[in-house]
Amino acid sequence: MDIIAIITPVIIMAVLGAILGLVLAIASKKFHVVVDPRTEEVTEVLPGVNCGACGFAGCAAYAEGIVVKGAEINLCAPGAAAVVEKIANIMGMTASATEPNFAVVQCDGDGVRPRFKYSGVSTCKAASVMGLAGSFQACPYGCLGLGSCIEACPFGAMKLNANNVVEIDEDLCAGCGKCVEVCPRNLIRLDPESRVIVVRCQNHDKGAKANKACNHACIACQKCVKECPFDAIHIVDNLAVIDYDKCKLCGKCVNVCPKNLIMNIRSERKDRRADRINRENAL
Amino acid sequence: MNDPKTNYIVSAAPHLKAKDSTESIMRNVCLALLPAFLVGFYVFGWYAMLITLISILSCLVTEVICQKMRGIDVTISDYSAVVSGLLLAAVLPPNVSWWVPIVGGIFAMGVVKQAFGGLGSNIWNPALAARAFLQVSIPTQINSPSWPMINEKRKELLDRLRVTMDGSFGEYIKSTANAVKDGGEQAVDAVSKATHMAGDKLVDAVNAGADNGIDVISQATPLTKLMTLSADQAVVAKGVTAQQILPDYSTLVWNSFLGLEPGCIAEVSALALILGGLFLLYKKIITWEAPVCFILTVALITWVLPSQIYIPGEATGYTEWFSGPVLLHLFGGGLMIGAFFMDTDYVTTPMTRKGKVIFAIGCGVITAMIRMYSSSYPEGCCYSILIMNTCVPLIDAWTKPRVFGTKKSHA
Amino acid sequence: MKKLFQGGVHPHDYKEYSKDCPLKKAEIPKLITIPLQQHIGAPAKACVAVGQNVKRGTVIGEAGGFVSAAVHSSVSGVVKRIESITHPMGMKCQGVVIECDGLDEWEVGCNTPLKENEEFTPDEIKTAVIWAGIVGMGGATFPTHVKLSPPPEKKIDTVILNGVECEPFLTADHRLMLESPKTICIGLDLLVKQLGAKKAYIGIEENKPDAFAVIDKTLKEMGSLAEAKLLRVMYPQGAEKQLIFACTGKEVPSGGLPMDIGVCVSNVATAHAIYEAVYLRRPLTERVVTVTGSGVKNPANYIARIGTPARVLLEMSQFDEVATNKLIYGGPMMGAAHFDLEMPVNKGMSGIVALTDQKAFNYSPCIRCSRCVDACPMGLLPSEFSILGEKGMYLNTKEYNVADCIECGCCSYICPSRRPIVQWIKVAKGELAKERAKKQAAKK
Repeated sequence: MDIIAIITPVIIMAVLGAILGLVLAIASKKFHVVVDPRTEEVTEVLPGVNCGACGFAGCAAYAEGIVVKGAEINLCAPGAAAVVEKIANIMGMTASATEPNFAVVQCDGDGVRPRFKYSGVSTCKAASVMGLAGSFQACPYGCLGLGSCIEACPFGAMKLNANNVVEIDEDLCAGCGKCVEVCPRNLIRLDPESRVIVVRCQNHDKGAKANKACNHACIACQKCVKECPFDAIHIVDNLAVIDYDKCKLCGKCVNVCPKNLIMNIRSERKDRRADRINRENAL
Repeated sequence: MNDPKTNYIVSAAPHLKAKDSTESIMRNVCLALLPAFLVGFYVFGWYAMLITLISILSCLVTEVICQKMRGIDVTISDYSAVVSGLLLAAVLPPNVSWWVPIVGGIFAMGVVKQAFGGLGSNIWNPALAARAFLQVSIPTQINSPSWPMINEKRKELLDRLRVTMDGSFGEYIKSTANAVKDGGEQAVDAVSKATHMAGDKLVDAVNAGADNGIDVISQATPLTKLMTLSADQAVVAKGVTAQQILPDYSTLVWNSFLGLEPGCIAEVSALALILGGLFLLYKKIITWEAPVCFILTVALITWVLPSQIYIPGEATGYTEWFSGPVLLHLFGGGLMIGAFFMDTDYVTTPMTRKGKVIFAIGCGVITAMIRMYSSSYPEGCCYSILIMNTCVPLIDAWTKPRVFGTKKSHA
Repeated sequence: MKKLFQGGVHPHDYKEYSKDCPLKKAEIPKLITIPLQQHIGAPAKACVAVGQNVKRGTVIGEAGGFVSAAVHSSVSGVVKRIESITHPMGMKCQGVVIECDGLDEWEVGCNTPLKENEEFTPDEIKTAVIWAGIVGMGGATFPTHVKLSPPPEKKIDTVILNGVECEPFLTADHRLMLESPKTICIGLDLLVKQLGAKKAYIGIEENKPDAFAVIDKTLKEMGSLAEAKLLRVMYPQGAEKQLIFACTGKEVPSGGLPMDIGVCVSNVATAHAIYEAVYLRRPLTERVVTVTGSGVKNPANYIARIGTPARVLLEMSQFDEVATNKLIYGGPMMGAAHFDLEMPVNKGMSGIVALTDQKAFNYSPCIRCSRCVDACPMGLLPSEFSILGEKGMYLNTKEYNVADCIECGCCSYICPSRRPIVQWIKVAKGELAKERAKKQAAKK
């Protein structure tokens, strides 16, 4: 074997490599796009789950939105206060963290009796199309329990509980609102952390009918309405609805509800909050 | 609660369902393959049966493992893995090593089917893709016109046979050399004589083998014969037809049709495969478009176009126009199993009738081209179907049916 | 040579259960619930008060717009309550609950038969149709007077009556054609006259030769310009577009209405209702309902008042509540499955089918067998809808013309993987409608 036979291709490849490298170098100089270094930094700080709760296509897009378009810096729901502070440092702004939001399922489901066997596409959306029975379970307003929101949740914060109703793990919930969008029965709502009094029912049927459908259905008995010292709770279309502008979260309605469907989740939230702060500090 | 209504089924319309299910269809495909396999087992003996069983088991086990790994329900009860296992065994030679169907099954189910998303999502026919994989990985096992070497006794006998064959081969080379001197026609005579002699000796040998308790002898498939013969006799082949080169042509055709010529396990008998195919047509599991177009295209091209012939060390030659050995092309090799079982595979073929026609014609053209003009492969069915499998999304996009109430456009 | 549309399926028709059962008046129950939404379009507005006395034929709901229809009380009695109910097709709507007094008196001005040879102007016919609240009684419940009001540039030259009844099990139209051919033919003549049509057909499938013979004879006796057409048996021949193609060879353009090609299609039961409205001055308060299936001992064809709970009809037919495990309101191909026996009969409900030993299917992946493509009468690719739907990519179905789907159910019927294709299609249509609404809102 001739030594030339080895050297020739080596030289050719080397020259080729050098030329292409040069072209690349020139191109990168010529077409260089100035990127604000802060964009990168903000992207680093963001949680990187791309949940879209901020309204941008993802974390990188939000970072660009903050730096280039001057978007609000407190839009990241999963990141909450810690992230807002970090972004504020990078951007040289003052932190104005909003209260974290949590998804709340407005159905307790206890006693919702499945009435029939369902056969078909097992997503909530598909189960609520026209032509299927209007009331998927006994209650035509309650959680279908097919778990479309569980699939949609980027944080794995939702699961079905023993009542076949979706439950939210607030340790994991980042308040991104993906579940709110997918629920065909509009049962999920984003509530600020401080909103601890929740009506866990959406049944708009008259008392007798609602009662027949579910043990935990609002029967529009008016007890909570009478009890409320702030005129913050009303029966709207056969259902107790809290006006949170007036509600002082005193929790009196919770005690009188015969169906236990008005709930006070203050204590749970308190513990969780302490937990979370501890964890964040540990990090 | 004893409310009977908890038993009521609520589902979206329609509430009636046709009887055919995925399982019943797959079961019927297995049934349709049965005659071909029976002939194969009869011709090749228990080892072919063993290979088939290994192939099915390998496919089933791989499917189960993959589905467990993917964390989805195990669906081997839908028979689709069994069908793949059967089809893989169908296109394997009967004398491959025992591990070949295992490797093939793992490749077919694991790589070709499950890696692409399981039933319904694979791009290529698992069995054929596995065969192609084996063919490039271990060509000696798949390609060579090999002899089954199962026990010493048989091997001895086969050695003797080969010697006999060699003898006749030498004779035939000699006569060919003479023929070159004497000219075409005489050569043809000589060739026919030589082949007759070889054929006679072979028959004798087979009889002798049978006397010695051996059921069968595998040798080159008819298509390989066609190819090697044309190569060796190319010098005389200018201006002649394949039928003339293969003097025992009609016997060969009959043998391939009935299953007396060597081939892959379930490819041997065109008759059995056609019966299976007709059963599928009768059961409305397949439609006529794909098999008919595939077979007609191959028949037309192999009849019309001249075959290429390789002259060692010289230029290539061609046989005459309109004279191809059509029947041998139809019945020898894998065309029948390809036409009835492979290009009617649901998952990897187009959805529309028009698409099926295009698909089958494409398969036919590529098969014929490979068979007639490739120097290394006597058989083109496997690759032609795999190539056309790749084009299926494109064909589907082109042949969207015309929506009711829209004017005829490019469709 | 009989023309046949592309695709279609041929399920066993199961009509042997009830095709020989003569029409029978159903019991009038104590309480009836009349939905105010019994048609496509705006719901009717309740115009009675709780406690008010009503008679048969009293308007209890006024049409809520042009594409809407009036709703009449089907019995005489007292309005007990007006409440939100679930409509048999699954939506929620207002319903009027009436307690019957058993007198069954007609409202003043109703049920005043006219002479058979009376002549009517087109406007009079249309007014009567609007007054009687007539909607398409084949199941689609499209208000009939809308069909009778084509825009002036669209001249209707052909009227087709749908006597196909391609849904398995149902025999309501079949019995009506056998027992009341004359009213149907007169109703058709009224339609022809109102629309000024030149041609008219009554399409009847070959599995009802007796009905064809009776209708053919009646038409000839009347000297009507209409012609009875015997059609090959194929589901979904009763679908408007397929029926038009089978009768005339014309295709309704994609996204268009039959009036775009000068055709008006009505059900035979609708024609019967038009006759009753015009000649007998009876608003639409009753219809023929087939109660059939393996879950009832005595299948029958009832003339039932609108609003009769299904339970009444089922019990008349000796319904086996325990053995039944699927209850379908409407035909088994397009009807809705229910577990509630109290659903009221409405204007579009042509049957109640109770089936035993039904299986709840688990669907498996699409194996691309292309049976649905062959079966689709609209030339669509149903498999694509199901695959996209499975992935939640509902909006992409638009590229595959999901809007042309008539939801006949052929694809789901034929699917060996038991895929609920129609369900995905319904979701996809809903999602696309939402998307359209979103876009329109954004434009504003």
